[in-house]
Amino acid sequence: MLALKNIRKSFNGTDVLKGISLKVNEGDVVTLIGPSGTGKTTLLRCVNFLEKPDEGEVQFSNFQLNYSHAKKKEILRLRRKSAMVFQQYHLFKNKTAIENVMEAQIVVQKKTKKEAYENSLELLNKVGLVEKKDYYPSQLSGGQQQRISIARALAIKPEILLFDEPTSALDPELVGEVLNVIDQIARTGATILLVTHEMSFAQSISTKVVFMDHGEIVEEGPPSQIFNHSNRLRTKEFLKHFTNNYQKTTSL
Amino acid sequence: MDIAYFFKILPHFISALPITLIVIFFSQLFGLLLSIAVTYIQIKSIKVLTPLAHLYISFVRSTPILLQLLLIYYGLPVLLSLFGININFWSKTAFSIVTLVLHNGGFLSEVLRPAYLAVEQGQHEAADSLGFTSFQKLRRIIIPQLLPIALPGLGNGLIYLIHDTSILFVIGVVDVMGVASNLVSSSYGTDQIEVYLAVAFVYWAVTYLSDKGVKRLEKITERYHLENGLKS
Amino acid sequence: MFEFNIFAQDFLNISTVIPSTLALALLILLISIALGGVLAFIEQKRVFVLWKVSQLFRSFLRGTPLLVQLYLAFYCLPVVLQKAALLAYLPFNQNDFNPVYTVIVAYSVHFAVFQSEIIRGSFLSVGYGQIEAAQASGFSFFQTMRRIIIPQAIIEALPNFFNSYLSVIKSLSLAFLVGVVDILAKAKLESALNFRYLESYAAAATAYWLLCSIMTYILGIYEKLIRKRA
Repeated sequence: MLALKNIRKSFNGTDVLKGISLKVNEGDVVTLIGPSGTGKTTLLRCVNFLEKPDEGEVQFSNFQLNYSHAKKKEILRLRRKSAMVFQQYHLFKNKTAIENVMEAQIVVQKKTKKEAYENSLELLNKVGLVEKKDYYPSQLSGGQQQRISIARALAIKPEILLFDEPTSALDPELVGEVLNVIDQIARTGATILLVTHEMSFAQSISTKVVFMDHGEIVEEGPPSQIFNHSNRLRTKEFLKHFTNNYQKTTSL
Repeated sequence: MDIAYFFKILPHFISALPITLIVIFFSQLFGLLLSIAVTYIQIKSIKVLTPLAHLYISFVRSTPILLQLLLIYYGLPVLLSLFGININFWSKTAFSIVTLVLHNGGFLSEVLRPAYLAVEQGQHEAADSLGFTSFQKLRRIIIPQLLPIALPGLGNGLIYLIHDTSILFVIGVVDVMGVASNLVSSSYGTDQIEVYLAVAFVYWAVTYLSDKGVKRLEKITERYHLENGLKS
Repeated sequence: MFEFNIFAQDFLNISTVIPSTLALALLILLISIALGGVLAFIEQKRVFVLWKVSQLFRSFLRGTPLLVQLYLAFYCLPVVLQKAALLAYLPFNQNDFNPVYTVIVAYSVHFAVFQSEIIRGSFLSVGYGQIEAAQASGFSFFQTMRRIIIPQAIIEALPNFFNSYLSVIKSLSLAFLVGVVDILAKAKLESALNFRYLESYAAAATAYWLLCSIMTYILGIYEKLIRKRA
């Protein structure tokens, strides 16, 4: 359903992405793992054109875009196919929680305020924060803000959800509540592309894991293959840094 | 000091106030528009326009307002006549407004630019990722966050503008200072203190009121609850 | 239309006045900083009557244009000094009173308000933790001030004082109206002879622009070298 073809990007003479091709089918939960600075986040941000690759194509089921010749209208169309959850949440600071969730529905999808309000109420309920609906981001904890930003992403019913290290900026005790929400969403059959360092989480919710290093895909496959039966040295080297805690823990 | 004289001449100044207020109003309005355009040009880095904008701001901030007034008054007609445009019939008030717009605009753009840049990149990215157009993003997300930061500076700009009108009488504008100048030259060297004290009070009042107005605006934009700092 | 040789001639003549203008501005800057320090102290300590009075002064000085303050000083100062001289049995002739003194007094007082805010701001910017650490180590108030606070405050304040200096230079262009010759005054004098106003004003503008650009450049070097280290 989403296909990235031959994505290349370099920053200041260094090749960050060396011709990556990736496919995400409907209902897939694809997780990108790998050492920091190897292009995982950059690749993710190419999907919604927050980064512009030097070369490559992106294809959705009924839409195609070539990065070297992208026009404004096409970029807008591309962005409206996905929604992103950021490491730093980036909730709109001048809007309340519920307004944050409503905003894109009103502005981009041209829904009425009433419709958007009811829909947003439901979504806030799903992430467990309906009682905070009139709070401003500055009055909420990191975990709460992140859950609201997930609601905001869900609100536009995107074809794919993009998660950019959603828990990396959170205090440890707040990580669980956010992972729970993402887990629930995955179970509903949503299409997800996720970048994370939470290995046990990656193993438990992914349908496919992609290990990237130095701007290339080293290995991709089901979680069991990557985490337990990999025969690539680089993969095993990387995973060695994480404690052998690959069982599904009950805290999730 | 002659208190009676002071109160006698005060009405003269109040009647000259409208001109000052008109000049202030239009200068601020067009100055603001100009500064928005200049800020836009600087942020977007446009080929020929951005260096020009930098040059303009540098000039307008490096030279005194009085000099700029004289340059515009004597120079603009000459410059435009090279293009066949004749503006010699323009009123002195018009030249005053042009000068103040350019001067004020330069100052304001140096207030707007940092305010715009202070809104963190993440807010832009969040809006972009949801598919907002530039205009929608600007109107609903960026500008509301930029205003509380810019307002104090804009308020100062207004006060400077009000005070800058005190030099317009040099080219003969009959505003508050113009009236003062006339009174002083016609009173054979007495009562100057009363005259300028009256002028001072008029300016003090106008400044005080506009400051209150800006503070009121600041209170209104406070409701965006950005207390925890914009770069949190 | 625009005679370049007159422009060049005017520029050279104007340049002769630049050093005295810079010196006058520097004097004003220093006095205003001293006054500003006093104001900042009063503001900080809130000595009741003094504070109220200083608030009134502040409001007046910031609420009225510099030019109006200048005119008021121009007409008031000789009269006040005359009365004071009478009381002290000193000779004083109002008509001999050089307007430069008026300019120095009026400008120093006017800019003192800005300087006091710069000073306060620079003190506030020195982290409170530093003061705590110093006092925990047994420094007295004066020692803390001298060795910890003031050095850091100065580094913070210098760029602002520098900008203030540029402001003073530019605002001295009004001094012509009371008879003191600065850069703009010289320009006007030049053009009074040949009526080529545009060339002389353009020359003055060039002089100001050059001055400000050079000084801003120097400030840039300061920021890079010294502030970054701090």
